[in-house]
Amino acid sequence: MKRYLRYIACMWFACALPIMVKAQRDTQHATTFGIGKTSHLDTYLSPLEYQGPELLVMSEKLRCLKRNSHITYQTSTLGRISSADSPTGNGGEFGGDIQYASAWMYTWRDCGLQGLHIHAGGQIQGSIGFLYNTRNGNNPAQAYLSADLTIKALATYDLHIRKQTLTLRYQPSVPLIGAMFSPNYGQSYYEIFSLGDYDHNVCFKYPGNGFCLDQQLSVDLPIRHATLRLGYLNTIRQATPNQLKQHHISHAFMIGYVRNLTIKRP
Amino acid sequence: MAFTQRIHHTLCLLLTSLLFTACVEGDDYNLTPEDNFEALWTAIDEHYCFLDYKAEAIGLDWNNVHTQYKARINPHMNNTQLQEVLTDMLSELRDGHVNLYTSRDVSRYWHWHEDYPKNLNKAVRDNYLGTDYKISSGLKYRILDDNIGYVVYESFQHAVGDGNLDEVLYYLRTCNGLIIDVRSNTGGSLEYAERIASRFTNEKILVGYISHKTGKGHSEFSTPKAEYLTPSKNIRWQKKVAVLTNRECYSATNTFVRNMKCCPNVTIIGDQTGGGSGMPFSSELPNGWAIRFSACPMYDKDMKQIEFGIQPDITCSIDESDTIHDKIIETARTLLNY
Repeated sequence: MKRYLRYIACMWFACALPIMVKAQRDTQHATTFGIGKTSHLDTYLSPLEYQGPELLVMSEKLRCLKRNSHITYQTSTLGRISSADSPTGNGGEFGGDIQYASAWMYTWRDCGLQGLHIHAGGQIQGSIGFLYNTRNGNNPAQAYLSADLTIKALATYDLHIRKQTLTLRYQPSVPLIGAMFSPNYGQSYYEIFSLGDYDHNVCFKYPGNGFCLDQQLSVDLPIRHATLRLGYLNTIRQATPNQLKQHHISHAFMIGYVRNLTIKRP
Repeated sequence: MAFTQRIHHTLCLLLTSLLFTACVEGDDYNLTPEDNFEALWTAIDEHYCFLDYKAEAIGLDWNNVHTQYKARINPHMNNTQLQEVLTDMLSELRDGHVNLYTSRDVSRYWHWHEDYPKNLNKAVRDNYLGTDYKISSGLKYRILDDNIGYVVYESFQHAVGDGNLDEVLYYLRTCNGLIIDVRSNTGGSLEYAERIASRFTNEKILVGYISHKTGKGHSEFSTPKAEYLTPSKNIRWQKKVAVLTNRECYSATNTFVRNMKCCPNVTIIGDQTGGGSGMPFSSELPNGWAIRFSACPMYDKDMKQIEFGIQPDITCSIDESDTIHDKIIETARTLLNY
């Protein structure tokens, strides 16, 4: 029986190998963890800006659609939780959100400079989150739900120092158009969820009513067979739905590891 | 290469232009008495939901209030003095849902019940309950001597589930009628107000409307949304009911009375309720003091304001000197046994 199984496996590899080699592609997986400082403003909950620490975890996958293709595909998932205090210290807010994005970018290799690669394109992203204020009664929390079309760029530069190659990366993304959930100016969640009274709860977003920016600066350091990533992540989320004011600004230091894989798939 | 450069230039131009769009920031206030005064006045001006109604009903002029109380603010006043002035200013709204919370005190307006007879002697009420009454979550209940079910519900903050209501109504099923005493119940959860009232109608009925502000203007409101009371799928009461009220029936209790008034076989007996028909929201001042104010106005089924209370079907007062009988309960018993 074992002999038959071994024979079938050998035959399968023999048949599949040419296809796998033909279809192989390079994929970069990065997982990073961060700690930073955040500031929240949501006038549905409070007119004051709350500030405090934030913890983040991010997973990124970057790959060419085909080997030597100029089209790069990137997915990223970012989760974060934060705890913030009011300026006087007697109010608290807890928040959290998860963001998922898929980007398709055109790649220019060695453009203008040896080792400088630039990717630029579009991205769709969605996020869901919440912010809870510990002091409030009938307006204790705000729910966040949004979907955006985003322009995204990624620049990488291979820096050779002695025998090591460090990769510097900068990737900004700016939402251009999108939609988000928001209660109306003075609407209670009791009306929305208990009575089913929806009133302009889906709001249109564009940079004119709230500029948003995600930017990440990082360096990949090869250490023996592993690659360490150190970075800075800056998030600026702003919106003015239904005459409410919202912003979420964070600065975080990120650290994690990168795995460069060659995936062979028929 | 030229194409690449064009792409780069376009991207740079786009990103740079986006950076110049306005930042979304909160109002810029300092911790001075003047700024805290302005922050409070503005919060009420932009979010409070009864400014137009109270201008009409009690002659409130919120701009004039600003002028009047701004004169009492000076940069050297201490927190106690500031709170006193702000409390006086908020009292102009005559709203029990408006509060200013500091570590020292809670500013409040309670004239809606303090200026009127209490119409409840708890010692006398306890005589009716006796000592062998039953307790189901927040509901105290027993069967009175004349076979009338008597239920006391002291706060809508005490959770009442469908299981509790099933047990209470099943126990009282043989009674000729039911008294629900919500006197001095100052409110709590609207969910319980709806849940209890749903046991007293067999059809979906219109009980009122609710709206909310859609902008900073005093008259910017959404189209009122009809509120319906849907009959419970569990045990429903089919006999006569009396709901006992006084001036301390406020907020969710006021809404409960509004809902019950629309149910068949229900009679409201006692004094006018205290009101409080604006669902309160919370906010805060730059110095950290918390505030609460009415944000979402609720109306009765005829779209009339109930902020200052609901009239009973039978107006009745207790005799303060009678330490044995509660005239409001006795009136209800007479009605239910009739």
